[in-house]
Amino acid sequence: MILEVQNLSFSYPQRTVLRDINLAIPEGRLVSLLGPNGTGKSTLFRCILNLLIGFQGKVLINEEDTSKISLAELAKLIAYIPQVHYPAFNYSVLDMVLMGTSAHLSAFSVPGIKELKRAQASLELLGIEELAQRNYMQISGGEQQLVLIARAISQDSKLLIMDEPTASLDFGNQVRVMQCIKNLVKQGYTILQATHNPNQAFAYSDQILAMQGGKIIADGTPEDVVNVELINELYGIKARVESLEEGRIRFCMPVEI
Amino acid sequence: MDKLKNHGKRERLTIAAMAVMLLGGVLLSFALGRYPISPRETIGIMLSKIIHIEPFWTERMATVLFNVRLPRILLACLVGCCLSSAGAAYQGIFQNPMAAPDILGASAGAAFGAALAILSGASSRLVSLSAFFFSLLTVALVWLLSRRTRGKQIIGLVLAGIMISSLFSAGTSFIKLVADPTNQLPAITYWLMGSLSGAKMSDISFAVFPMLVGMLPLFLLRWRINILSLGDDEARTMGVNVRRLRLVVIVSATLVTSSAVAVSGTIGWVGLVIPHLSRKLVGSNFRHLMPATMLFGALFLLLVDNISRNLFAVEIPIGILTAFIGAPFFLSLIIRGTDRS
Repeated sequence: MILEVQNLSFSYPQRTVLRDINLAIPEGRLVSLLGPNGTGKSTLFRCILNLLIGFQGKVLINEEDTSKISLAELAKLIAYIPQVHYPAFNYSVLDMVLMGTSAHLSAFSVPGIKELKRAQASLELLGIEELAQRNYMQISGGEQQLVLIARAISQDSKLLIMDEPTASLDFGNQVRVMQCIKNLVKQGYTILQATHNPNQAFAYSDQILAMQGGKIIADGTPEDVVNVELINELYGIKARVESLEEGRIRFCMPVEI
Repeated sequence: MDKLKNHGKRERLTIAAMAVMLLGGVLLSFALGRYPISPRETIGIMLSKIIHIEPFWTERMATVLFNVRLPRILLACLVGCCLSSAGAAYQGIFQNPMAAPDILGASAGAAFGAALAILSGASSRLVSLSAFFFSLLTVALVWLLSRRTRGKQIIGLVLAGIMISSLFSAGTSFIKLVADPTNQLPAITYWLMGSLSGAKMSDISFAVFPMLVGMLPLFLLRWRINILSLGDDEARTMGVNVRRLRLVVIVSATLVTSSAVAVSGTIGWVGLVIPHLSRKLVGSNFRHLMPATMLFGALFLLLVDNISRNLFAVEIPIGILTAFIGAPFFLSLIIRGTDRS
């Protein structure tokens, strides 16, 4: 198991957010985390990434307890890909990707040719090497998301955590980013993504985790887990799950419009 | 491959050109003033300290050069370098291009310390010392208070900075109210305007050590400041100890700001405008921005100080000039430059 969460609970002073979460993710899978707004998906990610302190239970990456390793060591095991956002300063795409190599550098050093090569390789892996010299602010939202993924690749960790990577993207960019993500999984990366789109979970994931009220209520393959009952339980709406192309594509649509 | 090696080449060349311009600016500044000394004489007098040269200059030239012009030029460069590097560092760690070196109250504290010392009739050395320590004290207070605020540390720091600054400003106003209006009040007012006039080698020997101690980490940590500017969560997941790094940057930037303000009074705008201009020249990457802004800040304050001491018969305090030049310039930047490049 590349990632294991054992009996994880987390409470803010007035409110319990996560209740006894258990999950296990084997290497080389694309795992989607489904769940309504405010159910604790981001909190769970923040616990896994060691951004929140004071949670109960354990997070293990490659059998190692994350609370016992330094931030720099943790960054070599797990990378975080945020939603597209605007940084305060306009960095070039290459510089942005280079920043991912920082965990491998001492505090006083600047990236050298070795880091440049790795950043270049990350851009090539995502097929966006021609963007290297462009400014991050002047490329499209889909390209920005790919740059953030390339940055995580240059961090050299095999486990990637993505918080709704396609949230603000148009239809075409959503598909392009998901294809890139799927391609990374083929290269041996393990990806855990939060998503609001059950159809995306159908189309691309190897494993689905469904979260409701701070608990994992379903865990399994998309075919086994995602059904009319689950959609109703998660989102409180009636939906139908249909198949197309001899069952190769499954999708879900709300029936009350 | 060659393309990778060339990454940042243009920026490095720009920085080298700035260094050359600064050197030229320094040599030229020796020549400016009521007692002109040509660059040839300047170099001669300087070199005669190391090797023997038959003097082709007067004794008086050497005295003016070492006791009047050299300390002033050095101080202008150091203060410019300090204020702009502190400004750039704060802009990075507060993820805000509007941050200035006095965002955490360094200037307000220094002004209060100086006013207090002038009120109690202290010597000019003590005024500097008092300004320096009150400046450090203010920022320390802001830091401690921000630790007790809830929510994001950055917001806590900025709000605490605003509050403590206004508290110390009120204190300064009160001191002005009770100060002797014939000699103390003008002295306080003049100090607050910021000036490099009457710079002595002793001022420099007082300030240069904390300045360098602060500037070195700012320079060495310049790549990491990039990562801090992305926000706390992202920086942490990239392996950066955000709180520790931010503390080191704040302590360093405070040290350089406080020592600069202590010897020069409050000189505004440099710390805000110079990092912006440098960003136009070398981009946002602090790896190049930090050295560029250090050199540019030194050059800028040197030029403004030359105007301040040469343009009119009566010297205009440099703090007034930087505001006169800085404010309209900044306005033109924000009116034209919304391209964020």
